[in-house]
Amino acid sequence: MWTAGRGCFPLAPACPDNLFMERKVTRKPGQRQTGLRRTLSRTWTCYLFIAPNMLGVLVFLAYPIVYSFYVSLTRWDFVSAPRFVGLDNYVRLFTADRLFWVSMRVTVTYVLMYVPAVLVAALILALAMNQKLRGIKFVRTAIFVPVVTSMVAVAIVWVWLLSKDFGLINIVLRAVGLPGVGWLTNQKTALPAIAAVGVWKSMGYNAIILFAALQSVPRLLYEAAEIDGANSWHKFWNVTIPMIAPAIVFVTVTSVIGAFQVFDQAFIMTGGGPGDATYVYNFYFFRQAFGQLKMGYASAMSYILFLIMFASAIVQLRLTREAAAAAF
Amino acid sequence: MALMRSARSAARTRHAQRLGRALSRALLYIFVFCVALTSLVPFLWMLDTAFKPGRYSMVYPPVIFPPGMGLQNFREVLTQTAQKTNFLLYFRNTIWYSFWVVLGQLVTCSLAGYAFARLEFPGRDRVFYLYLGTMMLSIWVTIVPLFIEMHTFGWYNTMWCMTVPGMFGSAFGTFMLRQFFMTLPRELDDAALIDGANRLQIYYRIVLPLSKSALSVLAVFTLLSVWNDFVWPLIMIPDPRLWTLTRGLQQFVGVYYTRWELIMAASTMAVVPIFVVFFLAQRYFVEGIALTGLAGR
Repeated sequence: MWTAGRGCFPLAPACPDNLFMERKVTRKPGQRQTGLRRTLSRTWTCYLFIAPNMLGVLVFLAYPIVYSFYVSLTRWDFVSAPRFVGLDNYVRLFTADRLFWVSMRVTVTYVLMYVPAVLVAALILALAMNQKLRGIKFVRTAIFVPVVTSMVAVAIVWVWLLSKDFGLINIVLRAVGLPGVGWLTNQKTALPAIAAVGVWKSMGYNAIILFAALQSVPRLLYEAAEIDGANSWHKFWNVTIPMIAPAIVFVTVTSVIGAFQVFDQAFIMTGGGPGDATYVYNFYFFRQAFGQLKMGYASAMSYILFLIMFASAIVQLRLTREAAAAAF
Repeated sequence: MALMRSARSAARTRHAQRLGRALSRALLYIFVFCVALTSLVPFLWMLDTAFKPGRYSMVYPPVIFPPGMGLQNFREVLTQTAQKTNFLLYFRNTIWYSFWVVLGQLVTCSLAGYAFARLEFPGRDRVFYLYLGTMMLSIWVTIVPLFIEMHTFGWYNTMWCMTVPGMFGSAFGTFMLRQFFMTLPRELDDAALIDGANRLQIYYRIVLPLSKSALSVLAVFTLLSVWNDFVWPLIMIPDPRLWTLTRGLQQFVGVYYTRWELIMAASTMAVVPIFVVFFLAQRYFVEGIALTGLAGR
């Protein structure tokens, strides 16, 4: 029944709240609907509101993920029919694939370079933005320009900036008397260089999140700390950091997840080279999936990446919860 | 005497404190503006190279404002239509795809956001949090099955795969709009209900007109994500006639890899529209990030 009080719309006890008001359910006097039917008929309009999104989740997310697991258990070149091979893809990845381990090592190194750097940079920027400096609006706009630019354009611009002979970076280095470096052609510097580009691009985004958190710290806490004789260093460690810890966790978790998926920079700036210095996980995955059309093998790779990201997110959340529990 | 001395030393320490504060403030200024400069200089260098005649892009020491600066590189990029680099076409494609995805997102996310914020139905919160959890899934986890699915649907290498999958809402947009809708006073809904409006009418007569700013945030973010997306077009549309700007730009670099002045002109064309949108809608960016950054709390 449509017009009943509680259920879908509790605040409208006597109002018709169906989508199509002329459609009133008539029923014989004395006939009662059962609970489930009543709930369903009252709520189906609500489900209509979320139906498109749920359809999207089912078709473009849930089904692909389940299907992907099945595909990861097959050998499939996308031409002939898939052949079920059990866990063979996973076994081969872990035991017989040198490049898998190379790409894994490169990616973990990238994560370890990128995440602390972006966190520190964003935190310093956020703290600076929180000071009432004149012209800070300009700074906020400036650090946001790389955020809104596509990684493709950013990567291309940085290839030009980092090029050996006429790149701006080396021009500046030479001007102060240092030798130029072939940043992207040197095994040692290529990965730090693409990590630096990643940091450069996303520090503004993370700084804004931390800045929003900083602004919500009550001034009262700082005043209380001052009365207790805390200097600014104490205030930072004992008030600011604990108060914005949730935002720091958020930034860290999203940065780790994002860093594990690094692809565009390696694809555009270095092509995985020189040697295998920037042969990141998704670059290898991309080659397996869409270069060689190894659907099963690539699906297994994407499942492994998914589990790694999931596990690292869980571990970080757990650790910070423990740290928070220990602090208070 | 002792009092005077202590007063003098107190003044001195106060003076030192003030000096220290001014110094740290100056250092902060320098640091912050260095960072701002670092963020902008690459783009300024890009612009400089794009406007310089090609022979000046590879000289040492560099000439920042050589004679003959102008639009010649842009003209050359736009007239190079032979070798798979038709930037006007990429522009049109990108705008076309963005339009449909933005439209779809606005409709579906606002409907769902409204339901999660205001309506009550069994399992609402459980569904909502599950839906939020899907934000953790990256495109890399689903790209292989989606590649297969797009083949099955017959959408691979057509404009459909660039628009339809993006039109069915997103956890991000739904979450953001839900957060915003929850800040609207409930009394408005109640008053409208008493006047005999149904939920759909409330949604588009009352809630939507009040939510222009939040809808703008979503529109801008969606536009940005479609405009800047690279992996999806790279995998799903091999046909150059369907390429987006990012895909075309990447190909362009491969073809003209020594002509940096042309590459920078092409990059400039790809990023300037986004810069314009950004400067016009700057407020919305910061608002939107603050709104979704609340997820961390």
